[in-house]
Amino acid sequence: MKKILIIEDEPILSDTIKDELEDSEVEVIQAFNGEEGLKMAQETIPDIILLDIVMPKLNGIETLKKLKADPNPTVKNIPVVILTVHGDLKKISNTIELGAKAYFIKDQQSLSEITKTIKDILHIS
Amino acid sequence: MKIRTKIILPIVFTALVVLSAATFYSYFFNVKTLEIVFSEHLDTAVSSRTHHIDTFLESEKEKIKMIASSLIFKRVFDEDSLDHDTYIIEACKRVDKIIETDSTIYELSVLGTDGEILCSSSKESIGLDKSDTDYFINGLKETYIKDAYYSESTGKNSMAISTPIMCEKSGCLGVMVSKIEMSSLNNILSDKTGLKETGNIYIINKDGYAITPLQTNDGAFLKTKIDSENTRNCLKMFSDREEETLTQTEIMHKDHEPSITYINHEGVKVIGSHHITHLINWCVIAEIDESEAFASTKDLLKFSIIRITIILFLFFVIAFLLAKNISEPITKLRLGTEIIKKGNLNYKVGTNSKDEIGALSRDFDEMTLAIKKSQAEIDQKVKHQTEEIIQKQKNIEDQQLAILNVLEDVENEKKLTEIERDKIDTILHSIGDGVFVVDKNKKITIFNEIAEKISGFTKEEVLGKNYLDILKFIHEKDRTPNNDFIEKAFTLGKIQAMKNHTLLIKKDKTEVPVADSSAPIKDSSGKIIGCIIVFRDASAERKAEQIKSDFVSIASHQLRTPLTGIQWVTERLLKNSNSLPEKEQQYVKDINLSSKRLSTLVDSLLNVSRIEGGKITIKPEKIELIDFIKGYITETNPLTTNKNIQLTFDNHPEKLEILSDRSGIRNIVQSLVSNSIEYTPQNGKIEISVEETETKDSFLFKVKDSGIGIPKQNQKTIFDKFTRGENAQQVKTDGTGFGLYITKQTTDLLGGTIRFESEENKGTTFFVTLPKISKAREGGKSFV
Repeated sequence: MKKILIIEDEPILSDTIKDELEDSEVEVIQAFNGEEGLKMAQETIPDIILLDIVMPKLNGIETLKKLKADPNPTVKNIPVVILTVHGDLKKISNTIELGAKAYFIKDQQSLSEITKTIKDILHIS
Repeated sequence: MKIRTKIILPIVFTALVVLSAATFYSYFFNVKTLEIVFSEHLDTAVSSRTHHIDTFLESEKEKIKMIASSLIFKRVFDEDSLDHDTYIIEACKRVDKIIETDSTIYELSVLGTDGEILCSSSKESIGLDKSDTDYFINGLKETYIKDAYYSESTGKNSMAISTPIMCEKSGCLGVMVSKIEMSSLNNILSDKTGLKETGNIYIINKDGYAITPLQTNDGAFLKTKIDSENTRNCLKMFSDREEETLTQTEIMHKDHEPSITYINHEGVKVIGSHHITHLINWCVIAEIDESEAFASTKDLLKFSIIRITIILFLFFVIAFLLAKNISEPITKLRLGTEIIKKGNLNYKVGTNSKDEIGALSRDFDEMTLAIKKSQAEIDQKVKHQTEEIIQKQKNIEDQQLAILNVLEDVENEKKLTEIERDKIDTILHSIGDGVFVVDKNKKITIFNEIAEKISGFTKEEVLGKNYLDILKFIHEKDRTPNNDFIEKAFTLGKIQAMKNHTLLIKKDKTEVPVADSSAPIKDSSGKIIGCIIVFRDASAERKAEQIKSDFVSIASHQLRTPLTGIQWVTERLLKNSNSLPEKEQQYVKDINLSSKRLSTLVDSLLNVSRIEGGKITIKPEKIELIDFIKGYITETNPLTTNKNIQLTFDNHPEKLEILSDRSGIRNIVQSLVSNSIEYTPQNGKIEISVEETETKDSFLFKVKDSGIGIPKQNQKTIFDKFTRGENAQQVKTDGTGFGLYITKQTTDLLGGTIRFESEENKGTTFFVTLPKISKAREGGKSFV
């Protein structure tokens, strides 16, 4: 079973997307700030990471930088998909440059669109 | 000096000088030659005579010696002989015989050793004692010539030669003496060959006395002492000879000297030469009158002068003719000039001569003609211009009158203006905004109280000064000067708004945010003569704006997260909608839709806030426009499919790379395409196209739909905030009225233009022209 790590400080959003993804029979683990997320990524080695940008402790950008600079190549190569709210386009383009696989504008895209993309990346139907 | 004189004088003078020089040279040359010729003649004559005399004396000497050596005279002294007496008689007979035959000797005597005359042709003198005579004393030793002397016994001018009679036995026995008459020499001297009429030859003895007749005095013998330069030279030679200061050879050669010219004993100027004889101290002198010698040169001189005179006359005649030939046409020309000077331009000099002067005359005539012509033209012009001047003067008088009238009007006008100004001042003072007016030289002419208050400067400090030196408007952001709005009012002649975020530096160097505008002041002809600037203290506005901006920014971001939560939860609910009753399902759908609208509204608010706050950043980056548009079209697929709208994007270049702001371009494309889908009914048509403009530095993005169109009454305001077409409000009730406003602002920010063509119920076409390369702009925030 594929493992998905969601790093998102907003519990409602995190839970909702967790429920949606679990419908597709994947394992979902949650972290609620960057620091926690980074730790979990290194420990559990998920197949994909969903990463929010505006977060307490370690923000998404910094978390992404650390992930991509991780000494463990397995951690380094975990695909990262960015979750953000509209209005941070500048930050988004930065994340792509830093090595993010894709991005979602949370308030503009529906849950189903997000799930579809993630499934495509994980090659599951 | 006349030309004629100028020509004649030098010619004649030159000729005179040359001829005179030649003549005098030839004259002196002739004189010199004659002098040489006569000198030679005289030298030759005198030397030949001297030679004759020497020869004569030599032969006489030899003759007496020969006579003395004959036996007949030696026997006289053989006193021991028995025939002694006979011998004496024979000897005397012989003496007589010799005298008879000889032509030169007039007396021959034989003297005994005691000086007694033993035998003589002069019988009276036989027996006389001559032992004290010089010829006896000298004659005992050798043959002796006695100088000329007057013989008292014979009364003859004589000379004597004595020689010893030598016998073998007893040496010298007696002396033979011959006396010769001096006139014997006259034959020699009478030969005057080579000497002219005045020529004269005579001999002087060693004392300077003439011993031969002179031309003027036959009896000069030993009586006349000749004293002249020539004789003095002779005497000098005698003394040299006596003193034996010269060698024999020198004496031989020093027997004569070259001819000289001198005054002779008779006081006549003569050329003379002298020569001394060898056997005796005689000097032969030849003289000739100089006047005669040079007589021929006088003729020559006379002839020369005549010749010069004739030649000079000829020269004069030639020069005169030549001068006449030259001066005549010139004189004619001069007379012509005089006539023309007096004003007769019709006069013609008319010379036919073919030389330069002739040409000059003809040129002169032509010139006169030309002057005549141009004078006529000038006269014409002067006449014409005089008329014009008179006309102008008249005009000026009219104008003066007009000006006087105008001045009067101006005076009235001035009074009115003053009243007006008072009014304006009152108004300006009452206005709540700062106002100042600058003239066309940018000098401040009006400065109201509020302006004083805001800037801190007093009226007195600023009036008459260039506003640029006093009032500094700057950009808040980069602090560069921001007086464009004033300058543009001048150059463009239109009202200009002050840029947002403008600061004014006050007198105390503090800064105050200001806002408002400037407007050109024009005179009645439309010429810009100044500018009025209105400004207000915008501190409060600026603060409120900032608060608003911050609020919008924070609020919009904070709103998003719960909105997303609502959307996602409702989506989850709808997914499992089967568990809900139909009515509740509809409620959930409505919640989802409302939250989406709210999200869009937040975006629009944020964009508007940023645009109006001037906070938009334009960050040009490479965009492949065609793919970019295609990508967006794909996103709209569900909507078009739903309404069965035929959306085409066929007319476009294969690729078009631009350098622009990605969010800005997305906003424009998204706004126009989504609007067209929104307002096009079921089964409608939408055409999208992109083409490069002619200049190739821009492109045209066109969206054409067959939608409801924009009503005429809304077309003017369609790009304004909160404005929507009346028909659009019916189709879509939830529009914000931000869409086209943001699109227009974005287009402006990217340096482009937007327009549309629309007809209600038929459709709308939007034309957006954007530069391929947009200018970067720093504002702090990007579009959302």
